[in-house]
Amino acid sequence: MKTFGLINALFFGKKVTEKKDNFFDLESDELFEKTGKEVKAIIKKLYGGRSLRIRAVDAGSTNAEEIELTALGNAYYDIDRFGLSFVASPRHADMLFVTGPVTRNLERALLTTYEAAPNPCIVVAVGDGAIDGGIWRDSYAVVGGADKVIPVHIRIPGDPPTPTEILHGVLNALKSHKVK
Amino acid sequence: MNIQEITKKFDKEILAMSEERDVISLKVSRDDLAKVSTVLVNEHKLPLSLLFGTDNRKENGTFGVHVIFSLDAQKKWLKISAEVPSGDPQYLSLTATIMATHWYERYLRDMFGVTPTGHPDLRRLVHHENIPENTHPLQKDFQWNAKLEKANVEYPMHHVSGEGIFEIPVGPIHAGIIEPGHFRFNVAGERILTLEGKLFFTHKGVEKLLEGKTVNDALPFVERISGDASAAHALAYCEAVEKICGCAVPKRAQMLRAILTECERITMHIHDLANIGGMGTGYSFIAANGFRIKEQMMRLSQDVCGNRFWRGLIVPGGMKKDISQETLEKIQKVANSAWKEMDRIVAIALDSEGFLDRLQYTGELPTESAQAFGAVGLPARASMIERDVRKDHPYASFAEFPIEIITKKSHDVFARYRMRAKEIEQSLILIDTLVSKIAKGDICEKCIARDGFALGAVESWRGEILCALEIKNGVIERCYPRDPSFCNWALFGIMGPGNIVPDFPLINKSLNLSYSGNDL
Repeated sequence: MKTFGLINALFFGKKVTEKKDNFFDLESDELFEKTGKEVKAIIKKLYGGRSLRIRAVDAGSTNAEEIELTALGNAYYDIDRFGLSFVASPRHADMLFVTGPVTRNLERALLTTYEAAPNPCIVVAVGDGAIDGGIWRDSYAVVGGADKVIPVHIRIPGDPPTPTEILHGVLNALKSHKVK
Repeated sequence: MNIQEITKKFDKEILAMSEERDVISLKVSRDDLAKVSTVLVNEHKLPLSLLFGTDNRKENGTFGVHVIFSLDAQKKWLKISAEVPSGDPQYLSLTATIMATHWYERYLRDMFGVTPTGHPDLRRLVHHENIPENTHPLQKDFQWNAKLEKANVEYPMHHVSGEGIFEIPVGPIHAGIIEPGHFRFNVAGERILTLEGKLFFTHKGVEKLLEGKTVNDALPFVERISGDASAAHALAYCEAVEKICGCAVPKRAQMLRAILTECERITMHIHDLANIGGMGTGYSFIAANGFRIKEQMMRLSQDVCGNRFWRGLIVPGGMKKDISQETLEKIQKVANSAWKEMDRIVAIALDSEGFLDRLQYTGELPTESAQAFGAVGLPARASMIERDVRKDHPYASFAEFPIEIITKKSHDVFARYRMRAKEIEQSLILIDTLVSKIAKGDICEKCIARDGFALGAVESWRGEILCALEIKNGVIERCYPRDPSFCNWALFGIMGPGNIVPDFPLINKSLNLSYSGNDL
């Protein structure tokens, strides 16, 4: 009886696959989609059709930046489709995202991460903290912006920047890279 | 246990007593502090909520050490203070008998240079190797923007040795997109023997930066203590300010505040349900859907607050701007539909044997340990500790709209997982009630800075935030916004051992503590 039920469900039961319409009910951000397509085209050109790998380093942020970076991976944004992805080790990275004001306790860790990344490595300061220390600048416990420790190529302002702003920053980074 | 009994019992020890609003202050000598506190904790089971220092050398040449107990039944706080002369800055340690003060006292020593004698583990805590000896940032004569030398002082970690014992160092830079912290596992095979964390990597000097600021100037810093609990931190701080200033916040503002903090709770609980269920166990279907649903809540915040983190609306005195009826209804609609979707996802997760296998009996936290370590918030309630600030010290509109405390018996990751689902349901009912009964009228009362001391307490989604605030001459003299993470980080020493290493990320996610909030 059980076997019969199974066969019945398999061949005559309700189709499990969802309708196509269900997949497109997410409100998409026009600017984001446009920026994403541009990024994809540049990556294809620069990296010969392969992808751009990003390593995120928290140098003392308030964790809001991390939430936004994580959000880049959710179904609304899904940056993987543009050829961008986050990697677990700086050894695999083409690009470093630095967030937060660099604290004294993380100065060495940030430097080590940068040194571990292969050359050339584009460094992006994400958020006001990473640019110049933001509201925390000059505190006894803070070294300052990421550029006090490692070379910074692109700055994305915001407290924290939205996913769209971050993607736009990546686009700028790649554009300026092309000029060089 | 009421206050009369306490004062009668410690007739000899109490040097002075005063009562102001919801804080009862007692003064004892530095030698009696540990004795009195131990009796209160051990015999009367009062939860020790906070221990912090103050620098009063200018006024009377002493440091102050203050211990705060929660008198849940009376909805009051008990503050016991002792003076420590600056010439001989030490007092008898509480940690010898009260585990909950373990980190507080190490913190006190680093920040003020006051030594708790008899403390079993007087290593550094906030200061890493690079901070020179005798640096005490919270002493008043320390400049907030001092440029310190680079030192190399030892910071040893616990170490187990023996045949077949391995040590696994993890962090501070982790593989995922998370905050920095260092963990040291000593393992025999796959089993964790000991687990110790070295945190305070993101120490930014928040407390020092707050000193000397006016009440309004300090708010942006408080909102950025932990990015994911902005509204709750801002509310705890504003509660403290308003108590000192005697500012009566309009009823409508109180209700809107409650709605905002509950929205924050729903957002982050959905995140955790997705993160524990998906990223913790590798069931990526749960994560993919959960993070998508969380994004709906973050976009809702964009519509309500103008940013994606529920921040910017709560200010001292009330609310910065009103929320229209239309927007309130939208909050209600979006939050309810988000949970309706997430509920289905959670049901799918709980239907999987493999999923339950990972969650059940993982990271158990016995009630006694939770009590001893002073655990707060959801992890404590998942271990049968019936405490919730919304009930014990009602703030915003929780006195009028009380909540029932949800607890679970199984003490494990599974209990914490189901707790989150239950708490979201509770918050939704609360939001529905608040929106339907929303009061009309003003949203902000003028808040004129007065001098004094007050405690602001808020049950954030993570647990009890306690903000101890002292205003003097119209500016902040001392502000200690204690994040629940500070109380709960030490719990890993209990929850980790006995589990296998791959379960640690799961246990970690089941608490989802803030590094930034802990490190200040």
